[in-house]
Amino acid sequence: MRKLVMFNRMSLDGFFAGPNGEIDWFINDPEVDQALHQMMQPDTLLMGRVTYELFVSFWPHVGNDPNVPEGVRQMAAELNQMTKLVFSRTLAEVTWVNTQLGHGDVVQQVEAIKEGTGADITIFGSGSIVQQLADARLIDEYLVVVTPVILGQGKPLFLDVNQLSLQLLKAKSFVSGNILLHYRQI
Amino acid sequence: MRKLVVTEWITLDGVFDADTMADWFFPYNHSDRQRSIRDTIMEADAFLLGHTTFEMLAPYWSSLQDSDQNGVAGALKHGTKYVAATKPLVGQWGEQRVLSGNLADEVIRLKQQDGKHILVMGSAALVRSLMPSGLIDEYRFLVHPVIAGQGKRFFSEDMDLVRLKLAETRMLDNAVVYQRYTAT
Repeated sequence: MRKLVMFNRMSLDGFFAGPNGEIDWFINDPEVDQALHQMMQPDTLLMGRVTYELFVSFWPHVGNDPNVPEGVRQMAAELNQMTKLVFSRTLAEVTWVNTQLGHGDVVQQVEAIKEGTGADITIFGSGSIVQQLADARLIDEYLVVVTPVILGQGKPLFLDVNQLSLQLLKAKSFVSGNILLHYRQI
Repeated sequence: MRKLVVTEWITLDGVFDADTMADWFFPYNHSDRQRSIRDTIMEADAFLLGHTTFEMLAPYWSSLQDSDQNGVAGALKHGTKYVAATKPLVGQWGEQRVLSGNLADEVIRLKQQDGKHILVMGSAALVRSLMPSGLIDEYRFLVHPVIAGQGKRFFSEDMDLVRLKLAETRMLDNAVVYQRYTAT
């Protein structure tokens, strides 16, 4: 069975994005990126439409742009390479390389993927998909980077999910003020 | 100037609902967590509470002996409880005073007095009303390993963005994470 890992940044008040999807409050830190990279080696990325649209407007265009930092270019190469599955009821097509469009029941599709062969699977952003998969108990691990910001308003990461008890694997703080929390579903 | 410290027990998703503590708080009881809670209370000699939190805590804590709960009961009883309220309080819990004037002004006055920390526990509405004043020096969260999904959240929506500085993180036994933040 393949492992599904959720990764998200979260404000102190539980939001993963501002009311209009803003992520300008993230506190980027190469040390956090490096720690995450060591913990996750996925070959497949799951997304909802909103996160896909954000990603596809940026990552495929990074290419070999010399003005983009080395770490970001490397990240772009990895994301391009990964198998990506986008869940949407409204998109007619997806244009990013190695990307498929998933229609129909999200839970059934993810169950099928987890039963197949391959490396770990990651889901990022995609609050409504995270919520469905958490309720179906399909998320094996939760990686949350807690950002030292009270956002005040936004999209709650775990909106209305059924109560879930977790096992804490790790809590690591960084000079940038981020805390990396790593939990496993019990 | 004394420090105003806010301490909160919450779930990973920020729920602090007293009605569901049997699910997210009590199962994680441990001597390490007790010590952490006790340390924060012992650093204070004044407690600033909202009306609801006071009336929720007073009946139980006022019934205990000073030595109960490792001395926490006595520290809470003998420290002055300053309660933001617009009507008389129900219950008697050692030293208590109602703050009925402008809260920020009252808090500035308290912070200028000599003493240990002034500690806020629970009291989400009070914290929310004090946040814009910049009078809160520190937040200490005990984050429990539960996604509640529903229930009362400590931070309510429609507030302004506030940046904090991470001062300390500690993994307590029993999967609780202590996070201490200071004002920037």
